[in-house]
Amino acid sequence: MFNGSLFWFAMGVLFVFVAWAFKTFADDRGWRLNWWKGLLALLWYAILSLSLYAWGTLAGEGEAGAGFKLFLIGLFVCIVFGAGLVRLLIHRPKTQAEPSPQ
Amino acid sequence: MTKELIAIKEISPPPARRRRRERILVALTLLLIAVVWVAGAVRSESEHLPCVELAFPGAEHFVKEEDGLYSAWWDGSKPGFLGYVAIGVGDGYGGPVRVAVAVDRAGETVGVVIAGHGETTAWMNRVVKSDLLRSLIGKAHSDPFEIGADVDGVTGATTTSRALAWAVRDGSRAAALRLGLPVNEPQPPKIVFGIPEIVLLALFAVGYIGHQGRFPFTRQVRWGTMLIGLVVLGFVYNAPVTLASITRLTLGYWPQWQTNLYWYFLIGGILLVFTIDNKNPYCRWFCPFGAAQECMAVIGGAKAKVSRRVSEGLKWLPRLLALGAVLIGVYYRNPGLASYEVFGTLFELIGSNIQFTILGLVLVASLFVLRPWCNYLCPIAPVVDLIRVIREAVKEPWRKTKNDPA
Repeated sequence: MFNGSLFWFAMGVLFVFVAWAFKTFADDRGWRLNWWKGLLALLWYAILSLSLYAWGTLAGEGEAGAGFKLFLIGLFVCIVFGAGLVRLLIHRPKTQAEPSPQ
Repeated sequence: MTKELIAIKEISPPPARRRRRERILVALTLLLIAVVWVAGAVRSESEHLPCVELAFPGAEHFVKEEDGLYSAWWDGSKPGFLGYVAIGVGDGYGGPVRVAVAVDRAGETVGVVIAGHGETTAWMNRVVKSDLLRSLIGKAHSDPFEIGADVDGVTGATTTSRALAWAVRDGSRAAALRLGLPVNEPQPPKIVFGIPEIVLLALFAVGYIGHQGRFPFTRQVRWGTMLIGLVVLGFVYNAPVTLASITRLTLGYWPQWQTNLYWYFLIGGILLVFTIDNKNPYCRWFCPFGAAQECMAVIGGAKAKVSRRVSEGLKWLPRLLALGAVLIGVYYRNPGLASYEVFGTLFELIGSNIQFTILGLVLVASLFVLRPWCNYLCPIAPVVDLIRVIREAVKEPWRKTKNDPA
């Protein structure tokens, strides 16, 4: 029932919900997203999911150990890249000081 | 004030400047396709010998007798003559399908190997995995090789199945002629004109009339044509316009008209209506995949708006994807090679993993965004844009002459 095609279809569906959730989360936090920040976030998600897919694919071919190592490398890249991405997303450019109410 | 004007100018260049830029881009695109076409022509001049060697079991030596015909031998000595291997050609969905057909001295087919094709990979894989090729072994050149008569086609890949069967017939007859066996002239194919052709012509007619400004009930009729397109052209016959069907034109692969009337009506109809009316009736009125997305939009209430700036940027994505797919198809002489459309994935559940992912993404995104595939991924829209620019460029000198006869 849950064959390869259905799995990849589900991954496509999941992608929309992840993107939607990310946009809502960013709006709630007051992050100012632009196209390149969105692209970087997409890249982060792509690295994370590809690491997982690679693990699954290699496990299916009887190379679970190699797959797990590849996944750990991908995870490491995701953590480092993710930390930088969060800093970038929460960063607000300095604007001119607003006049005091008085 | 001046700053504002400059800002507006940067976002939206004046029509004359934009037109000139568009024309330069179109000219460069056509030039690039022409260069790749020539490069691909040089590349495709390859021998079929590896396939020929695989086709004849037991043969160890092959001699090229003429173009597309090889004699097969045990070891090259006269008594060891086994038969011939001929390259037969059939008319497939993405251009000619070539098959190396091994025929023994009695005129019986003993081996079949696909030597080249332009079919979409997923469809060809489906045929290869079936029993079709094995069922063609043992046939004689005098057999009809007709799908539904003496050959069982593969459901959902009828054109590819027929192309393979006819390629084997073509090869076996060429070999039989060389063997001196009596070969009857092949019967001209029967004209295929049925429900899909009738429905398509009716949809074109309604689409053309519906585009006229004074037409009442536009909304209701459009929904009617879209649902008919979805069911008949989509789920029943899976016959939407694809980039492969346009790429094959650039390669000069014109399919046999008797068996491909639908294809001629579809491409010819779009070009005709577009030339006359400057409107594309297909995409808006009866594209089956467009209809599927609009149905999802009704369910989800699709209201999410993409900002104009993002939308302008994303406009280049399908253009680049379409150009890349055309260039790959032209270079490898295989129109379906780089097809990334997900029409067949929805209507026939055939496709690669990436196509299934895109399908899931597009269908769910359609709940929130109106026609995401059509706006941001479909390769047909850039082709229509290209035709529009060419049309305008051709029309302009006429218009000038008409306005200024002196």
